[in-house]
Amino acid sequence: MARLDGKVALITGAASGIGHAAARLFAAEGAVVVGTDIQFIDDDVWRDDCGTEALFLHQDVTDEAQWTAVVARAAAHGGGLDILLNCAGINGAAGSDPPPQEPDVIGLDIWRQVNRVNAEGTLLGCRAAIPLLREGRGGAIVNISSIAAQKGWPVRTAYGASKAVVLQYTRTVARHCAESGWNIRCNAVLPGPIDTPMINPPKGKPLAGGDGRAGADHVPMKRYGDPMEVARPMLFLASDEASYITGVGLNVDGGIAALTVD
Amino acid sequence: MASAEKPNLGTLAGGEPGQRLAGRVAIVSGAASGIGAATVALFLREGAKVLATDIRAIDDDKLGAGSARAIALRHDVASEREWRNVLIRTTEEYGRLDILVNCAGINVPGGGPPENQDIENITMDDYRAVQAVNVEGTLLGCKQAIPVMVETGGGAIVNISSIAGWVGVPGVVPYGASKAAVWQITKSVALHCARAGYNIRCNSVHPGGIHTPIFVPMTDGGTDDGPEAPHVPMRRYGEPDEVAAAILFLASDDSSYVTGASLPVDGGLAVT
Repeated sequence: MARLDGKVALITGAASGIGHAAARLFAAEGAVVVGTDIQFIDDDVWRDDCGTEALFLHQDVTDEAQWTAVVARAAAHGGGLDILLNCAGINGAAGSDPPPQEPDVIGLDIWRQVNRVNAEGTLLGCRAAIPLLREGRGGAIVNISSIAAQKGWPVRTAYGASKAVVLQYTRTVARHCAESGWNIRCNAVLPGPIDTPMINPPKGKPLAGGDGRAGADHVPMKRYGDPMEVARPMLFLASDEASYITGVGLNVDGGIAALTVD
Repeated sequence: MASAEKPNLGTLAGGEPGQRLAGRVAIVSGAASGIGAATVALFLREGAKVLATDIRAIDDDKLGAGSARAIALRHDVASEREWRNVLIRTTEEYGRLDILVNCAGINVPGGGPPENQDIENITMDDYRAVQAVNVEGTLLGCKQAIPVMVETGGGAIVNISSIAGWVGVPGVVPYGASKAAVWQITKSVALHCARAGYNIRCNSVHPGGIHTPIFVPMTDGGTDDGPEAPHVPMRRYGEPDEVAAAILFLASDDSSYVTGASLPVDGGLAVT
């Protein structure tokens, strides 16, 4: 028996990075996966990765109306909803000429763009999913915060702030659901540097410079994490194995948290 | 949908269900009861070979499925000499050590109700007795296990701290102080091992109120679910099995990029 047999999981940001790894892993562990992303993924690739039961939907997580439709389609496809993974996220540094984020020069455009996807996208996802999670046998939400929520990171001012929102919001959702007697748990993972397109753009700039992409010298484990190494802790938190765990922010960062005051 | 094709489980998951610790050798202290006993049972179900240690006798009948892969040892964790002997026995029997779970812990010397454990009434004898088991026992376990783990390629250490290591617990000052020390030691061990390139991870689990023999005397009343846990968001106390599941996660390859981390298992207590 697999660890997510009989579960239906909705996973945003499922076309790449951590979300894609989680979609593959959750499908392999028996879940019916409904993945969404603002990017598209080839149908054959999706089915190869996540099985023929898996559904992929195009979604902009900042759009309230789309969330209503997505959770309804996910529940219709799987016959209910048990798990939500809010993996969709941006760091505001994509593209050939990203705007600066340092506090003395950051513009409100990039601040709002990053916070809309990371913070509002997570908020909207939890809000839309909770009514469906309540209907089932109990549910689990796993949000993606970041080590950036715990440390100052001037070149990612907007990103760090948005991930701190996700962490704090996770605690509030956890408390609200538990105290309402809803049997919905809500936890966050706080990844450190993970080898994903976000920090390692395959078609972007070369890996150089003092912006955290240069190497892993600052990581006690002296390496970047693999997306699957974040997906597995998400599996644990989403599964019934974590039945007494809610409101937790779990660092998955090669030891950086042990150097962090929080 | 029943015939739908699924991706291959074995290539992705941390191991087939029931085999997540196959071939691994684990030491679990405090194995006679509570979280330690639940951890031994779960590790055996997941295929591990286990040295179950406790200062009290361990009832072999309680080891459950896979007990042929378990060895019960009498062990005072406050004694460095006894730790050395446990490690020698481990390598003699199994030739390796992959996992150490430091579960042995007390809240009052000799057990019993936690009377006179507040700051005005605590005696230094009581204070030191709790630190000897909870702090020094954990420290010695890490110290003695690390070189053995290094010899066979690394491993994972899981220490049992507590929510009481984070928040004020005025009625049990020695216990709270000891669990804060365990949390802190965990982070230093994690950084030491990572920087040394040992491939040894070290993390802490922070239980809230769990139905165990150590917890019962800490509460003013019963530990039944419901109104007795009004301050816990989940409105119930946890079970030892629920902590053991978190220990399994941190001991297994599922947490391969997790070190120096602290994982509450507390029904949401820490967010209140």
